Amino acid sequence: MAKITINGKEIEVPQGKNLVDAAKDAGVDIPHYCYHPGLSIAGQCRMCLVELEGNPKLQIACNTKCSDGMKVHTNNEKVESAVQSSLEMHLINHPIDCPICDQAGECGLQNYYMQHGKYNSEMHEEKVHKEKVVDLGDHVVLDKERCILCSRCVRFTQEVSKTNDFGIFQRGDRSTIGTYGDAPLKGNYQLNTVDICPVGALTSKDFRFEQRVWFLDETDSICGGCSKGCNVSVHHKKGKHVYRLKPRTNEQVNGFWMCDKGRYTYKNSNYDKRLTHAQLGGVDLPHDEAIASWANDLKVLIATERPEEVGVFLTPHMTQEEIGSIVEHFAKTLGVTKFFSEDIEKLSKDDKDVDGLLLRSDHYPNSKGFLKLASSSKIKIQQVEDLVSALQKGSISHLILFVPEGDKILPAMTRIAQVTRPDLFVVAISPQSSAVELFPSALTLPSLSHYEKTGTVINHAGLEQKMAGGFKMFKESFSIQEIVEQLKVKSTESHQRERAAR
Amino acid sequence: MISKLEKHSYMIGIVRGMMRTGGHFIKNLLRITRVPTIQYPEQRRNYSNRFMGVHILTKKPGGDIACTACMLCATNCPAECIHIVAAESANPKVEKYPAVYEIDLLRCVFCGFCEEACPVDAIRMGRDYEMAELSERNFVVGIEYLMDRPALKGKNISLFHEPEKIVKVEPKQERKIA
Repeated sequence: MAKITINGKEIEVPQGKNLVDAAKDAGVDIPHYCYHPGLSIAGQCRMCLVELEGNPKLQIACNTKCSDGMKVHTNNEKVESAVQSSLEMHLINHPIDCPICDQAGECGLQNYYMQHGKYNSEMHEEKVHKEKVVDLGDHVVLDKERCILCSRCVRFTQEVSKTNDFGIFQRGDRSTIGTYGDAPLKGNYQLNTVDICPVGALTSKDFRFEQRVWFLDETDSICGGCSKGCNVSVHHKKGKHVYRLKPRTNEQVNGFWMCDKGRYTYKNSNYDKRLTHAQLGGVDLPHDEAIASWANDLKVLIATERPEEVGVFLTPHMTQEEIGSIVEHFAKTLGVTKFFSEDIEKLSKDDKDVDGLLLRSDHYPNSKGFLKLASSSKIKIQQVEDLVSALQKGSISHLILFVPEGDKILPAMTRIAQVTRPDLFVVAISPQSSAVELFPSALTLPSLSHYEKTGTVINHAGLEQKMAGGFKMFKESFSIQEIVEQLKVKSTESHQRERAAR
Repeated sequence: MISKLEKHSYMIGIVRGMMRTGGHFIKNLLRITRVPTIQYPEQRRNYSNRFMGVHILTKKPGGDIACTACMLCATNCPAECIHIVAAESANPKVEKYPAVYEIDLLRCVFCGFCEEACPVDAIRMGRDYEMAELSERNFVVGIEYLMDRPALKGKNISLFHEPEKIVKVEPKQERKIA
């Protein structure tokens, strides 16, 4: 441990810790553009200049390691004027087109200009104009004018994604960022360059002009794209529309990054794909009535002691709490024995890194938790083919499907739909309509999408992580715990009514 | 016990009230005072120059919309009555433009904050105040009405694109107190 003094305040930090990070922990914000804790040190932007006692000149904090007895000043006149001049230099050729820039609201230039701006321009020369709206493949748009040449994206593609896409070309004030031969970006980690860009030079194509960032609310969640369990924050507007996902820092899981495939999983939450009302045979009906008709059919089977005729299909695209409530009610209370799923054990066993960075082959976010719950509550999970043969034999007369969001479940659902007799009582509970449409006569109930859920998921390494959720896009969609609870209430209600009738 | 006089004391108030009414009636009948009523719609009241009526969206000299869809007006709007959908323009020099710009005139409180927020003089408060429609949804007006309604006669060019027309008014000297 080393004792350092920042602006007269003594703090204790690990020996050799980066000064920008150490100051941040102590509540002192040292402005910086090029420094990023996940990348190497470049020392390009000269924004993090601080005064170290004993040094005749100002030093950059990002390339300074904390050592015992170090005395740092970040807010005296000398430092302030140096930072102001650095920022002034960054703004010489910046187009200041904030009104049409997607970064506005979370832009490093805007933020630091409010604190360290020199408000009157001293430049009489025309700004250097560069290319705008350069298409860099499927995900990213580049605006060369807005770039301040911090080289974060260059270092990211060299050090993290190893795709070596970006480089700095030309010299002096004509220096521009770009790709070699204007080639599109490669790999599955392109949008991280948009996240780390401190200005609006790299912007996301998907989010382009969709919304101003100051309208967005943030909710912490866990990515539902694979078993890695990357920490994300969901950006939505008043819980009515999800606009994008951004990675949250978690050194244990994803570091600072996330993959592009994971980023687009938010689309499953939005209106165009969602099931919004309970339906019976394709016709909307009130949620209460739907639950009641489900409870009535289930009650007959339980009353005549035929729980083995009930089949439940579920997947690990659910939180621990949701799977727990299903197991609790169907297996323990009602005595249902037939549970089906895809081959989760195989998926979990074969789970491996796809690209050596984050993405994993198991596309379910909670396979480990699913297997853990199944073994702890001693439930035998059968395969899709077992369900198909049981349906063909006719040994199932009440089928409950917990269908997850996304397209990866469609082959299994199509297989089940092929052998489903039209007179079989099918309840399909899903956030999305695509898989449910395969069962035209089914009773369908809308449930919450992944990012609306509150609960726990267990990632590939056995790490339990919480999803905050808490926003609800459609009034009539409920979490699976709530749906199971409503089912319980309805079954006891109908019991009481019968008893009263007797 | 209430005396007969007390019981009918309300008559004093009534008589005084009737005298006030009758007095005004006679004054107006004989045109002794200036009558504030005007013969609308033939006669119209002159509103002050600062009056804020239905908004105007301005154009560039070429006729394109001046708005860049930065949504500062929507951000500043206390009534949340402005709805903008931004899109990529076909013109490579423009980049961003509003594909949809709607104002719900029933929600609007005509405060003029949108006009103040606009960095390119794309929205102004107009002088139209006669708003009558048969259906509520007709009060949600789009670009077509805000920019191209006949009452504007195509004169709504953004000052951002015609800076020579900006008139600088010297602030009036404060009255000296002797």
